[in-house]
Amino acid sequence: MGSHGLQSILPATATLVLILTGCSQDDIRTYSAPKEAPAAGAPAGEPMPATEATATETVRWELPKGWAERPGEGMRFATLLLEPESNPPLELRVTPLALAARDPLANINRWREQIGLGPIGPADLDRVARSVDIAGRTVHLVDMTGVAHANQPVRRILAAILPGDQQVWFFLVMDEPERIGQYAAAFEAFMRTVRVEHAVVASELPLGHPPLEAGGAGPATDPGSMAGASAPGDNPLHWTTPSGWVESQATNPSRLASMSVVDGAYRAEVTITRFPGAVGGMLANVNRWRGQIGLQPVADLAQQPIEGIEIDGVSAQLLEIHAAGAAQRLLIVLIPREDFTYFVKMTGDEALVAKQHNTFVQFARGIHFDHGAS
Amino acid sequence: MNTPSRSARLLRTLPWLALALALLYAGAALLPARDGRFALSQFARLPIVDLGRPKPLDTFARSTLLIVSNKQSFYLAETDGTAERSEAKGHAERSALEWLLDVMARPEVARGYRIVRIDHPDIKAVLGADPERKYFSLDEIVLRRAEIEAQIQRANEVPAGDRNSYQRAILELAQHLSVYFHAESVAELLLVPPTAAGTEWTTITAERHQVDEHGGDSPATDAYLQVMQGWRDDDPAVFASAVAQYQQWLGTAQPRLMRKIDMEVRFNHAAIFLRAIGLYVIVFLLAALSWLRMTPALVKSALWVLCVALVLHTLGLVARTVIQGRPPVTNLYSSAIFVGWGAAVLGLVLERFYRNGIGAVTAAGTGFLTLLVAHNLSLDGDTMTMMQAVLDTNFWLATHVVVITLGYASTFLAGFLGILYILRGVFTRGLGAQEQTSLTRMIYGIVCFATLFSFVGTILGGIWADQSWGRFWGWDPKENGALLIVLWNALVLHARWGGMIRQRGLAVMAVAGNIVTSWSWFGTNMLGVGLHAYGFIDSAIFWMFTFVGTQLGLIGLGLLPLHRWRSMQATSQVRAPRSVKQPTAPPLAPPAPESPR
Amino acid sequence: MSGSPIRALIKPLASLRLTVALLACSIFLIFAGTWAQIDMGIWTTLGTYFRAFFVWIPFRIFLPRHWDVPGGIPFPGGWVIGGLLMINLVTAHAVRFRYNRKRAGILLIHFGLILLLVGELVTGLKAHESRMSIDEGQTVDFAEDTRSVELVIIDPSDPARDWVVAIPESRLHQGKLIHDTRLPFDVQVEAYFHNAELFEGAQDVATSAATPVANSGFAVELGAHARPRPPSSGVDQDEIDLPAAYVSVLKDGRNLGTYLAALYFTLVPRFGLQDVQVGDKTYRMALRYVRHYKPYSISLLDFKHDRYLGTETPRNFSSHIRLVDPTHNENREVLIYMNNPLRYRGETFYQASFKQGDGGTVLQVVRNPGWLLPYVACTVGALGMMLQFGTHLLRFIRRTRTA
Repeated sequence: MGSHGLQSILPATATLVLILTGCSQDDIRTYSAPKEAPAAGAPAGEPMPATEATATETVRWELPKGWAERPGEGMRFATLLLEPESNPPLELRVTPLALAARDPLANINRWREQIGLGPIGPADLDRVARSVDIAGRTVHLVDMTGVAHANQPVRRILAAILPGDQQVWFFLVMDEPERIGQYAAAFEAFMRTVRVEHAVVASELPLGHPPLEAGGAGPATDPGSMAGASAPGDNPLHWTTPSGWVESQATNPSRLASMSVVDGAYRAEVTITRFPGAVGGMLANVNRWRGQIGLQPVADLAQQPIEGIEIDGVSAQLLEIHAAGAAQRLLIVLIPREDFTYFVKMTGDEALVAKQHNTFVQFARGIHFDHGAS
Repeated sequence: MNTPSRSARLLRTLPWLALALALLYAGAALLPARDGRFALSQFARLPIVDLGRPKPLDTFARSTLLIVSNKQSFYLAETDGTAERSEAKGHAERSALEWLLDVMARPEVARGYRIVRIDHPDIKAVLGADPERKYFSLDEIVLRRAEIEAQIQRANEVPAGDRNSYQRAILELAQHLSVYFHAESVAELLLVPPTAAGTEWTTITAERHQVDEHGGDSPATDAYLQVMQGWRDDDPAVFASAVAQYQQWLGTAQPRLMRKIDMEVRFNHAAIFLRAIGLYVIVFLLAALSWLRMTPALVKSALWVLCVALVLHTLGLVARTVIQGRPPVTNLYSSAIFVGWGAAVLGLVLERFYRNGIGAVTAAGTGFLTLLVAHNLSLDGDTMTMMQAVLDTNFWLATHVVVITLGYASTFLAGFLGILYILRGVFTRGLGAQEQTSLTRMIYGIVCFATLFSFVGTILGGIWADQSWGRFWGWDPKENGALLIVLWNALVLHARWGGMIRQRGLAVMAVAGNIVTSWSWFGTNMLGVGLHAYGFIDSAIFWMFTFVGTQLGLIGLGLLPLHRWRSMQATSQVRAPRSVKQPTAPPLAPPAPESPR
Repeated sequence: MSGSPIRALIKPLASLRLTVALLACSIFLIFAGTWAQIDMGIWTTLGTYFRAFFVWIPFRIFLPRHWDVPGGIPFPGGWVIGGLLMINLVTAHAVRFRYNRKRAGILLIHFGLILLLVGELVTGLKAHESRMSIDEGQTVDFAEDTRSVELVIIDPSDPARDWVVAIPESRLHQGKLIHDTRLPFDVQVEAYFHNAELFEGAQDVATSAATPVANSGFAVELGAHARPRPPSSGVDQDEIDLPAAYVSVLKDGRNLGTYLAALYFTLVPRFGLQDVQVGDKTYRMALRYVRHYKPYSISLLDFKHDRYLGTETPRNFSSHIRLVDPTHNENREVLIYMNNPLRYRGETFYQASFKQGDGGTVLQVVRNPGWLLPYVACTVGALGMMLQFGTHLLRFIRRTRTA
């Protein structure tokens, strides 16, 4: 090696430097390509880039009486006509936007601009919008009346921002204040029937180094609800939900129904569950239930009245568990059937449950089973 | 030579005594479980598919309770049927399997058990509970369900990196509850094994439908109905007969699986790694004691008990490999087990060569610490998880992952030796010239080993990446971490060869290697979790920082001027404060207090 | 003798101290780069830290973001440190080294390292990655580079093939007039957003001064407008940049219309290309991922996504494809799955990802002329290590045996 080696190093280094520092301005390319079919019919499923998972999410709703629905065009998902007969029509536009700003404020300010109002900050958000819970999602309902500006008359906006899992859904109707005013309540009632549905979400495989630990490809179960991973199985019984009781999604197969009652600050829960076979002795159950609301167990059932009640031709049992000074009260109906015993149970704040006694009994009496179901 | 005194004779029996006790302790792991009234050990062996893997109900019960409650057992009150998670008066300890039976067969009862762990005070406030309490019953939580579900929804809307501690805590609770409800839904668990070729595991509900439509038998459904009945009615006979009958059927339908399940149940029961921790502690004490009172007996005892510990450790590793059907390292937990094993083996090898207790101490120390880390990692639930598609290749798991984990193990071992060097040198008179030389040689040798293995392991990782997605080096955090270890070890070696560091310097740099390795092994997993919001409170991050802090402290100690080291003062090696660059003359001081062998 | 003054100059470059210093620098650079990629994503970090000459390392990357610590330090980048390490290595061999059997191990190791560094250099300069997204039943003959876009103007007049003129992203600057003889008309870039959101605006929306008004194409048909958004961080895999551009078509000095071209339109096949009317000719225009057409085509026959029972954890992905190449007389079926790519004509096709609902596959296409170098480097390096440390170990064992 020695000096020869040295002398050959220098030019090599120089070339290297030149390669590294040289850069070329990107040039316009031209080429011929096979014919591309124009974007006519969309193929089954819209292929989004693999790094994104959107666009097979959809919404459904219950169309109120008197409203008409038109399929959407372009970026609009659907158009609902609130007054199908009248002219000009009163349109409710439903538009999804992938990757739209999740912050409702940006959209609200954009709408304000359209009706001639200035933008607002986060502190004033509560003045124009309120959040309601619809099927577990926080939906912002917006009601704003603008001012006359730039040759535009005064207009009022009713809007709802519904966050899906992959897109944000916008429901918007904008027109004269009086016309809109008639539909404010109907709009909210309509929004409460809207549900988001979507297919399985795909995930991108990590292109980085395989981790030593098998980190999951994403949460297998959605941590977003207290629900179990699977939908309830066969549902052999039917009931009528009393007014004021709100149904929520059943959480797991042994729980067939789930409703909540709210009255001001008081709340109560109603559940229907079933267990295979006969259950343990009544005393043990009663003591368990007493324990659930913080009461001491009893030695025998003398103090616990048990009423007979007939439900769908079966003799069932009704108990009310309460005590002076206890914060909560329980109402329970046990319905023994062939393979299962059904529990209809209301748990909640003392005053509310007491008030709901008759409603509960009526509800239980109205339960009926599918024929052939156990 | 005078006749050995009584005490000398006693000391000679010490190694045998220690060996016998260690063997007894380890052997106890192999004892089968004993049943109470109910045939629980048989029920434990019933199979279920969970998280993609067929496993015994025992594992399912343990991991579910572990996730919900952070412990594999609970305490049941004898009188009123309530239960607590931690020890309480009038409560007897019960196994996770019994908890699972209550959850499945008597969910209303189980929901009253106060075993769901909640730490965040704001969540406790939502439940209206005393902030001192740590464990809650599902009933209490369900009572506030609407509010909690709203909170979960709100937390879910925040992108993962920006969540504050409350949001992360509530989402963690949601996940735990989801696991709980999953266990409750007996009819939807994958309990029914495939009956014919081409069929898959299925649920009781599905089996019922199948039988309704097509007739035939439903052995699983019948068995479980009976089992639940027996448990609810407190009837051990019904319980036992149902389990026995079903087991018999399983024995003919799925013989291979049942053998593996049997092994797994025994493995669960043996708690091998916990016992190994205990033995490592004993070894550590024995070896450390041998430095205070140098008797060959103590060193020998340490060595023998170390062998037993290592055999137990190996047994555990092998069992896991057989049960999973995969090479030993598949996730973070198993990497911790393997690092401990590798370091212990290397320590044992050192001990065989040097026989001065140092190898034993390092083997025991690293074994103990890594198994402790592993234990904490196991609290996430089932440690035998399925490998994701791209990782699903036994060849690369057996080569790249194993080699690089050995690289971690050896770097940690070198670091531990460095710590020994510093502590002995600064605080005791035990670091004489001979000790210095031998320790230095040990560290140097292990660093060479570490360089080789981490380099080869990193390269193998690159080749795997190239085979998988065409990119040999992606510069991603895990890869970078591995590269850092190679670079650091190379740096240490080059610094030594260039005369820039001598013995003390080598020890200090070896300790710094601990920091680099812990970064590569754990730190890269925590990136992005803590820095966006308020995540420093996360316990894993906390422990990592604590560990790094201790290592920095030790480095600081090591960098103290040599004349402040007790060992150096004792042997008057250093005349005045001088830089270490000038090597001192060979010492004429008395040799270090161990007898050469 | 002739090399003596050069030797004196080169000697410090060959020193072990420099090696140690450079190794320490590389450790710090890699450490900093790993922290930086939390915010920047790996690809940006690659370009800023590792495939760069110098880099500014801000302090804030090491600390909680909400502390917002200012300041940083300049630091040599990957090219400089790697280059210096190479020089150090080579000069050390030229100046200091003794070439005998004992040193064989170290020689091999260093040679392997040189090959590794060269390999990374070649990869950095020459490797090219793209991807092919194919639906089941679809045939595709191009790969897309999802890291850059181009504005394409297509002349469909020839019944056999389309003639495509592609303007690269680097030329799409606001206010720029693109004139080229290859283009059928001039393109005036009114606005270009690296990342934009599209929204449907009412016809009578008062436009802000910043956003141009489009009067043709999709902007009018769909009522779509674009607003700029901050670039996505590249770390969150759900967020990618969706560029959009407002361009005016100019011919003979006349403005024939302003169009909104957005990547979003090409990602949703409902929209695709938009028509541009110039006189009596209709062209098609779109802003889409850069395409590289291949002389062969790949059809996806079947895509399988196996999951572990009861979970969503993927167990295996596989794409059963048919490769048709008339120029090489190829027509065969291939199964591509994890850890088992297809190598064809200098490119390698890996199973990378898949489309929603398991209805299609995404293959990663990699061309890397330097792919062999790391393999050679590793073999050489590993041999060297085993030689070096093996002899050390043997010596050590012999020594302790005799002690």
